[in-house]
Amino acid sequence: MSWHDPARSEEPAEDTALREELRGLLGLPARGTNYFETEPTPELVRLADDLRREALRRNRTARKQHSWLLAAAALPVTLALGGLGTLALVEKHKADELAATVAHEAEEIHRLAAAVQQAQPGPGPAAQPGPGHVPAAARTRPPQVLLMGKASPKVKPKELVIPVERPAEPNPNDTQRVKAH
Amino acid sequence: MEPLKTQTVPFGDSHEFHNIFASLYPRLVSYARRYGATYPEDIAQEAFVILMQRDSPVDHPTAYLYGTVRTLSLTERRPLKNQSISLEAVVEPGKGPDADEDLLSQEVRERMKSLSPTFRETLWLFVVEDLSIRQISEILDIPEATVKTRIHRAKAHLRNQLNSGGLHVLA
Repeated sequence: MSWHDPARSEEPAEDTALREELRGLLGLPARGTNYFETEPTPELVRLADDLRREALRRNRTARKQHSWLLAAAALPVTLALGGLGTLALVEKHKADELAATVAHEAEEIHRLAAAVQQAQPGPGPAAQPGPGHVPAAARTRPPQVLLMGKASPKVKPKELVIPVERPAEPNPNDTQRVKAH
Repeated sequence: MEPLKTQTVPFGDSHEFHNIFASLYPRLVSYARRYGATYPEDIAQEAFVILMQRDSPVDHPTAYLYGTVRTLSLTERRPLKNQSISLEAVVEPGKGPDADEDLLSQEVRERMKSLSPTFRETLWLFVVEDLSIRQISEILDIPEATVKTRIHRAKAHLRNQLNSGGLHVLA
């Protein structure tokens, strides 16, 4: 660090003139007389060296304390980050294993399905369904009308009703007479 | 006590540092005394140690030293607020007990006292301490324009005071 102060040496002329004017107003002597002009006495030189030594000592001590404090403060954070990182690695390993197992099982299922499909006899080209083709299942199924008649309790099936006249005396032969037209 | 080696000196040449220290130290002690510091010598020495202790260099070492002395002096005065002492015992900034006795004449002291503490502080740094406006703005932590305004107002006040004094003499 340099003791050369550009702020003082590069002072504008108007500031210098203003200072001189103020000196005159205050009744101070002209510029050039420094109230604090002091020769470096042995006491001052010794004091300056002591202060510089003290600054060096503090600088070294402060830096050491600073680094130790930083290390102490960073330790818990480092441990926490390390633990989190390890946990994340373990979880990632588990997830990778699960994904590999699932992929393997899916592949096995596909393989089995392909094998079953190959084992079944496939239909020939002549058996291809035509435009008027009715499936076998539809052929065996009963007509929808009959099913509807049976299924619904309100719709009674059509039947021939013949009125029967009961004889006064019981028919010994248990027969029934029908008039012939 | 072993002598300091040149390579361990943080401020370059020892001779230059001794000269600067001899020039600045009494000024800083006087400046701390103006703020009513109880131990102005300790404050000035502490300011030097703080400056030399820095890792990064400062642009204006003189202004830095003055600013540190001002801060330390005001900090030293701060605990007084909590003590039950009389108001007369507390010295206002720039009005230390007999701080200017050995530096300025009675007439100059009277003219300085007629200014408000704010103007007096700025004027003192500019005229007596011979610091530049930029340095003063760094010390007081105010813009350069404010420093100039204060100096010009102080000048106007002094001029008015001289004119009124002159009229009294004529009367």
